Amino acid sequence: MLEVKNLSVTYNGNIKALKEVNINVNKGELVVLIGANGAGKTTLLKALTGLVRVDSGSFANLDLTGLTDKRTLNRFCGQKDTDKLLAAFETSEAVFDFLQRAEIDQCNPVKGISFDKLKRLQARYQKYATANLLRVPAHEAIMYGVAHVPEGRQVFANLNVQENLEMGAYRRHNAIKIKQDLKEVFERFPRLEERRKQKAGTLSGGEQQMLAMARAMMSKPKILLLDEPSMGLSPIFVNEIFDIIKSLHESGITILLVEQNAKAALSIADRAYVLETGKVVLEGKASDLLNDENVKKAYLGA
Amino acid sequence: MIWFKRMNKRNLISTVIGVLVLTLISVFSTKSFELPKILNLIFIYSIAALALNIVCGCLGEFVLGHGGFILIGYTTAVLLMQQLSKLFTKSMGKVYFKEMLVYVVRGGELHPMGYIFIILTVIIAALITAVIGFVVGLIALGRLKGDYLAIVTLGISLIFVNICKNFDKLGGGTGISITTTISSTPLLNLGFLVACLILILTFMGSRFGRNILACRDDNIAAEACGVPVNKTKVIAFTFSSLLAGIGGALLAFVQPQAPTAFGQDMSILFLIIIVLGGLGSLTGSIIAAILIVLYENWFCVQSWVPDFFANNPKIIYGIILVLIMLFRSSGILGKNEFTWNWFYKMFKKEKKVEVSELNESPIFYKFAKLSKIFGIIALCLCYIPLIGESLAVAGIVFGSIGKKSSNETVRRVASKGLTLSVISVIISHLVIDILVIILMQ
Amino acid sequence: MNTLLEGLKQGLELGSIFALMALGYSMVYGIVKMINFAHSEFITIGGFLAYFITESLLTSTLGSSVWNLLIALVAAIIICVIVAIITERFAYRPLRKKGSSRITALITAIGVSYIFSGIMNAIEPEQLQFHKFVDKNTSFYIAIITTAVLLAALTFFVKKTKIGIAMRAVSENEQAAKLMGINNNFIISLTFMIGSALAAIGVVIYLLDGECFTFEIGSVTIGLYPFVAAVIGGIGSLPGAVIGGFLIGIIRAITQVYSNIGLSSWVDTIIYGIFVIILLFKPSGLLGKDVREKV
Repeated sequence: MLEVKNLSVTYNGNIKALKEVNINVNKGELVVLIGANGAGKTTLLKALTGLVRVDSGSFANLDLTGLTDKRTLNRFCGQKDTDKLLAAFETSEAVFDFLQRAEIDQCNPVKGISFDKLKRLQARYQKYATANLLRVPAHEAIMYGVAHVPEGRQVFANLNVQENLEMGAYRRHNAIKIKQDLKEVFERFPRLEERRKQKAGTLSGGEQQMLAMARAMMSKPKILLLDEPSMGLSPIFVNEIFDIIKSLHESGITILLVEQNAKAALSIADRAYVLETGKVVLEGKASDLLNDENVKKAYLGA
Repeated sequence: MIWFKRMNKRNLISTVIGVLVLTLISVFSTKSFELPKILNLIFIYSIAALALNIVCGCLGEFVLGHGGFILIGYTTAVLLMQQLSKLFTKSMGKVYFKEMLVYVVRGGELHPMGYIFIILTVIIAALITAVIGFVVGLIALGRLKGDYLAIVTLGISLIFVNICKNFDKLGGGTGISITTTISSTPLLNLGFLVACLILILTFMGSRFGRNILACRDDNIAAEACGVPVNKTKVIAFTFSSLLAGIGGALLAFVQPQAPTAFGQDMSILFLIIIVLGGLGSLTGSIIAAILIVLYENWFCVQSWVPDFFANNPKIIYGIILVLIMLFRSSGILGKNEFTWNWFYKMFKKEKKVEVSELNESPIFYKFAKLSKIFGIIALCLCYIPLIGESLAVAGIVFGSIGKKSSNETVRRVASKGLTLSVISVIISHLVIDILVIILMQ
Repeated sequence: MNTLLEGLKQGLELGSIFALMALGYSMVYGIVKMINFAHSEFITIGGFLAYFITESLLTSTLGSSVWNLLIALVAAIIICVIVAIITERFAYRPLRKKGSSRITALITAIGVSYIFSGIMNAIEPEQLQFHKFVDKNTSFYIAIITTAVLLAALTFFVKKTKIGIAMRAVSENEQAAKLMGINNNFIISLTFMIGSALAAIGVVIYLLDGECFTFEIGSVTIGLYPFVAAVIGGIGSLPGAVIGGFLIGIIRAITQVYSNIGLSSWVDTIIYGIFVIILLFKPSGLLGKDVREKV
């Protein structure tokens, strides 16, 4: 789903933070990035969502099975064609389903759109769906289904919990769906529902981390980038956060997790990459890495 | 005096020569009419800008009310002079006092007693300003920071202006002045500038100076290391207002001004100067002060300059400010200082570039070398009208061509030539002007 | 007693005008953390434009009717908004992209303000008199009602609408806001637009009853008072800005009413004195929140 190729990032013109990093995240996977301080883990995530500028000659392909709301459809079909497509398929999900299929049957199901045009639309959609994430400005990344939970939580301290969550759904416009998702999020995080009208700044660190993750979930992401969710939390909360990540993963969300807490992260992940001074030095199945001698020495303290 | 110990022989000699040259210029400038005023203003503005730079650049706190402290120095100096004059009139009769103090224009000489009186007045005025600065700092610096501090100091300075405006004795609408009875010489102001510089260097080299720099970088970390943050801030602020008082008091002997002139606009003018020179760079502030004073008092009054520049200084300042902020926000020198090492490096030979190594036509390298040669020759000949200037212009043109090169060494050579040429253009213009003024006499 | 009442009434009018301008200062400061010195020039530009348009329309069929004023007001708002967008786009945004320090931003703002002020000075250095559309009494009611309505609308906008909440989010944490898909450049532009529109409305109401003014109306006559009002009330707080505006307006009007005992010449001392005292006891203004520094 996410394919990072030869990604290099340079700070201040000479400090190389990332050197030709290659990373793959398949659909439905939980991939963890571990590494010491300054290895470039956070930089990698920031590069993916456009928060730091990337050197030329590198790209991150995002194979998107698409956002399926009407607005996304509008973005590349135009108002008129969207209406016609919707008339034919009723729901926008069905339209996307149709556009994703590799070939269109000879019989044209859409009234008013020629066969050629339909093919063009499909090509355009596929181009959109496999976008080069690094060309996308930071505030557009979420439109491609990428949600980034930044390091240090960064909730909006003076907004209350509900407003924070609404900001997560800033680019979605279907009020009913948003309400449904809000309910879902509250089911997953009951603590947040209790504190619905409380300012986010008054929450404890663990609750803020939950809020940050819930906020990211509100955008209905295809892939979730988590940056050190356990940072500065008490051991009990760390366990809780990892449980949440695990359950998110089980519900089918693709997750790229950056962690210092290597043991806990490796125990829930499918695959892992080890980053050292901006390079991937080791990759493999999480369970293999957990037993790897070098990893044990360097990161697991054994 | 740590800065003194660090100086090597060459730098010490260069400094002494530089000060001597300035002294000679100051002494002989009194022959002309315009020059003393320009030099006076350069020295005074430098002092006041250095004062602001200590708080804004070195301490990192943001003060928008510098004009208020200059006003206090100015007003106290005038009042003191008036009292002194009264005192001496009573005891010795007015005539004697005037004779003693009056600045004899023809000879360009001040009576030795006059020097002593001025120096005493300036020192007392500066101390009084420092006391007020201490009180203001004690009240404001502990509680406020950032933009709030800036706007509060602006408010306080406007209060000073308002008070002075409302009492005729303190200035009223038109301002009070002592320039009718006595005025100072460039030499005196130069002496004060050198003294202030020595004071600043000593102060910044001391423990307090290091504390100040620590506070700029991180208040909390400094506090954790045992630096008394609030105390340090107040000390820096007091020191800054002491220097501002010196500047204001010296201004009183040079240029009569109404209290309203010390409001927002003057505060912003000094902010412009220190930002132009580079925040935290002492020599940068002096260079910027020179440029600003020259712009206002020399450039704008030239006959070949369109009236637009003189009539709309605000537009020009605004455009300069915005452009500098957009393209070189660290100012002329950034955080660096002008040092003799840097100066002498300009003349040093660069490592020779092999033409075969260049992956471009060697024309850039030739131009860069030419630019440097022209710059050096122009600097040597800048006192000869036209020749020095045209050489420097050629140097600038060649330098800017050479800067386009893709080779780093070539670019460095070109920028050296460019800098030398620009310096010699400025000097040659000034020298021509001075020569014209002196020859016209 | 009558003088005091008269002073209070004038103060309320002046206060509501200051409040409108203070709202602009406060919102812009809240979102980009920069004292927008150019705001005072937006005020001047608004006043100038309204003046020139009303003057040219006076000779037309519209005469001195309300329509004339409305057209002038709308035109002033539009031009002010355009100037604000241009300023933001070409002076402030490049700085933000570079991640410059706050002093850099402030100096740029001062530079922009100098440019506009200089241009205005070059266009018309003489004193002008705005056409007298309404008498003092009506302008008092107009000022009060406009401020109340706009405050209510703005409060609703910021507290309840999605874009308003996004505005608060950007002002708090720009990076996180970006990650939420909020186009922070658009939000910041919008804030500048609202601020400058409020400045234009404020200055037109100020001039409404035939006030005289010069090119220094923004930088000297009204000057920093709206900003002081915003800081007193607490930067970023809408009701705070209005309270601060009324406070400053009333003080100023009362000192003017009592000019016979020489109070009017002390207006700066009184206002800045109160300002300094309030800030010393409540460093983040009357309604502002205390933000503690994180270690």
